[in-house]
Amino acid sequence: MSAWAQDIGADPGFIDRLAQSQVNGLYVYDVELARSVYVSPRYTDITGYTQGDLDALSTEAYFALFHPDDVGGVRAHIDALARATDDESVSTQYRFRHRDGEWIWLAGQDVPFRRDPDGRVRLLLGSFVDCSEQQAAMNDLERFTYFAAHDLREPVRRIEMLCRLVADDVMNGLPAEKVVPDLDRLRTEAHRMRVLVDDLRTLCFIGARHPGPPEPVALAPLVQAVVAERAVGLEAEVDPLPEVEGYPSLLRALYEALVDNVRDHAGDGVRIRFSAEQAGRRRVFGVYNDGSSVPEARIGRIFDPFRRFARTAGSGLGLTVCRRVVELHGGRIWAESGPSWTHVRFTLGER
Amino acid sequence: MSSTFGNGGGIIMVDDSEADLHLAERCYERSRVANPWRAFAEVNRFLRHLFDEVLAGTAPMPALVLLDLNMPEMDGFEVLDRIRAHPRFGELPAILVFTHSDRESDRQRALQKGATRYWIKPSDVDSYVELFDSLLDHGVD
Repeated sequence: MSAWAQDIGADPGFIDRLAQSQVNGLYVYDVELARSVYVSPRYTDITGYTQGDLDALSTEAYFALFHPDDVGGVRAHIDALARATDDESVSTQYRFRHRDGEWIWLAGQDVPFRRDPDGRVRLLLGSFVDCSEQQAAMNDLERFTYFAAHDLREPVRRIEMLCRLVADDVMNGLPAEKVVPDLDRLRTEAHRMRVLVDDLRTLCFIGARHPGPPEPVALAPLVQAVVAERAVGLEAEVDPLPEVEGYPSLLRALYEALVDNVRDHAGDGVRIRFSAEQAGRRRVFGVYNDGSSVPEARIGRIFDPFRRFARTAGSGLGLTVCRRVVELHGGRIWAESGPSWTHVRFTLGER
Repeated sequence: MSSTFGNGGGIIMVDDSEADLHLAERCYERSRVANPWRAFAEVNRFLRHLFDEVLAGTAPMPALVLLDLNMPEMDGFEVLDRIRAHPRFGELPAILVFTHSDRESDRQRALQKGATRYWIKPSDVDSYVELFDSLLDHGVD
């Protein structure tokens, strides 16, 4: 054992230095007074409150810092600790109001610290970390799963019903021309499901893969290939496009999704322009069409998953795929729109 | 044996999903209800029908409107507001909200905005047919 490590616990500076070095916030809670009687500097970093701020609060105001939906759980947590033995620890998660007014998610763990002469727990020692980001990601995931499940359930339900109707019609001896339209509808519903599943796969593929180093990509031939394959029936115009650093398969997926989006929302016969403009030191790319319009109130949300605002054939994930690709390239994507045009624009990061 | 209910007027379904309109109509054909069936995939066309033709007396008052909630041009709550705000449409036509949403808050809100009833779309043919048949026994109220 190093001589330097002897009697660490007896070093009067140890506790202060320990509290300073923590990533967690630390506090001591007095069960009788129903408030914290010591908070570490990191506690203040995370929550915004100093010990002085907390001392100035009434018990009621102190408990109002816990989210109304969580405060019951926090009280039950304290009760559980009051009954705990000294070698037990109890963990919990709750929302707490930061001094600036925002709710933050805290994940904490507490132990009984000091007991009164009758052996009742008087002080609790607790620590917590800020897990707001993980919680936000979880909520996005829950929302995503909810909509994906809903959007898959709809075609499944229709397929079930159509199968039953077709079976009855066949049993009743209806002629083929009466039955075939419902078979076509069955196929349409199955196709919707496949489009959604394909887009879910694309998103997983983009999210899961480790992209490795970017490579030079000539955008002009890439866009020409997409135009030839996907923009049939659209009047396409392509600005001179440079070479960029990036991932060719993802950039291709980006342009494909943007063209599909135009087809879904503007229909055939519209003009589509693959734009490239210089804005200061940045290149701004984009896909413009003169046949669709996005209402002002919705324009900020069109890249969120399953935000379908029109009766379209798309899965509701196309623009989410676009945003993911652009983000992987260190860029930004947004949309501009007028009464009869929409321009989805993006950057691909600094070179 | 088939028969009509209410004033014998039409059943109008308003839903942005052409697929759901078709399925509902197919099930309706199998029910015993004989009121005429009419479908609108566009809310605005339905509102024009109601506010132009029905008000002018060139089309009969529908016996029942089946109204979806979640539609891109205008949601069902706003449709309810617009219809019930008109003095002639304060009580009639009967409007039955017909939706996939099983959220209690949606149900409360729809009824508060003047929906006559709230139905969750069935997910199989037999339940659909039973639902339509129940109109003959119980009407809409």
